[in-house]
Amino acid sequence: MGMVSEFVRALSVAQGHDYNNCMHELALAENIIEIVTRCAQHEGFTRVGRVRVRVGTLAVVIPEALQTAFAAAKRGSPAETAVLVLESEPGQAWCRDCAATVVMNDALDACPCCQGYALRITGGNALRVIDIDGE
Amino acid sequence: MCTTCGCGTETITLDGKVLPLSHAGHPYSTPKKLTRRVQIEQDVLGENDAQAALNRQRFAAQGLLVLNLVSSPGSGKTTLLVKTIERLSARQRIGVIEGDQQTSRDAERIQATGALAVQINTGKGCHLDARMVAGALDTLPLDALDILMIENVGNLVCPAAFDLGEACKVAILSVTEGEDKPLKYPDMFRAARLMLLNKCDLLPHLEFDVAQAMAHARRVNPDIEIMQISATSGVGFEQWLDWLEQARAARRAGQAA
Ligand SMILES: Nc1nc2c(ncn2[C@@H]2O[C@H](COP(=O)(O)OP(=O)(O)O)[C@@H](O)[C@H]2O)c(=O)[nH]1
Ligand SMILES: [Mg+2]
Ligand SMILES: [Zn+2]
Repeated sequence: MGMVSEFVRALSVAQGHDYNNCMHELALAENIIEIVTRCAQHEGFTRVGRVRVRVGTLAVVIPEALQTAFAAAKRGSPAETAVLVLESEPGQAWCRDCAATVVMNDALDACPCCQGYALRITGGNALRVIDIDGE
Repeated sequence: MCTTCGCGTETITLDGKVLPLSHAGHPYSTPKKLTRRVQIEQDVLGENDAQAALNRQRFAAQGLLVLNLVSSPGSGKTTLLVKTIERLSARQRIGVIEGDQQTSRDAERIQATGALAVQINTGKGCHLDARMVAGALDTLPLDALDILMIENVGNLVCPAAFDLGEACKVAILSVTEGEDKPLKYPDMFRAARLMLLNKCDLLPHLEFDVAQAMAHARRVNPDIEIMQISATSGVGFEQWLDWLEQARAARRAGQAA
């Protein structure tokens, strides 16, 4: 197996992803391109630059896979010149036992205060386009 | 993490060793600053969520109970649906939306019971989205149904992120898959209200630890309901069918209120 496919395999396994049939980052990248295209038309941009996207650490997305998918999906679109810049946002959960909001950065994390698992995710699980540069 | 290409948020390991991610090699150079910056603050899944909300309104107006069935391929979703329809069709009118990458075999298995079924083929798509479901709804007589079951594409990752407008997700885990599935795919088991532990008829032949599987599911989702069933033998179906009828009654009451 080549280095690249080995890497993809490791990435997939680490994420519990079946890379053979699961590429939803492509759907997400297409959504971002749609948002950028609409914005560019509305603003009269002939050239798009940086597109900033906030990725919650608890979002169901692998940043590297999103970046690769975006590079493939932007070709031939009005977002062709766009450069995707990803910023991470910490995850947040409500601990029922502590009755407090706590930081949660992995889906399997325990509550940092009580080490329990009575957690409900309250933030850091979304993917949002923050702003778009253009001219 | 690297804010240019997003690499470095996850520690990727290969056989337990951290896989070095070369930064120098990433192809995304720092963009040059252009003249204007437009604030957007838009959810990337916003369009799907908006369509899901429309679907949900449509279901509520009909008092229709809609479930989104999620699992790995082969956990027994279609078998469960066929058995459920056979056992319940005298009391509840059940329709099915089948999602698979290819073929209409599963819709045909459902249609053989006499129930209404439509097939969505997603091609390379690894999940159903709200727009596909909206398209399928247009071909179904919703007012002639009490319960609509959506069998999602067999995949425990992406379907967790795409709301279809369902009342809730039901995750099916079969005992041939291993007790640790809920820990490997936490997003899905967290998103589900009910977990059906299927193929329990095979337990005598396996070394599957039911208590541990249940503990793993509750670790990622303390509120999840769990039932042990067999879609082939019908074991545990009384509880599952009761759950369905109660959920359906609750929808009806919600509509009347
Ligand atoms: N022993 C046993 N086999 C089952 C059970 N449920 C499903 N199967 C078998 O598992 C295979 C996959 O089932 P299917 O319903 O197509 O899975 P799906 O991909 O989730 O729709 C088929 O061969 C079924 O007969 C069960 O409860 N017990
Ligand atoms: Mg099936
Ligand atoms: Zn706590």
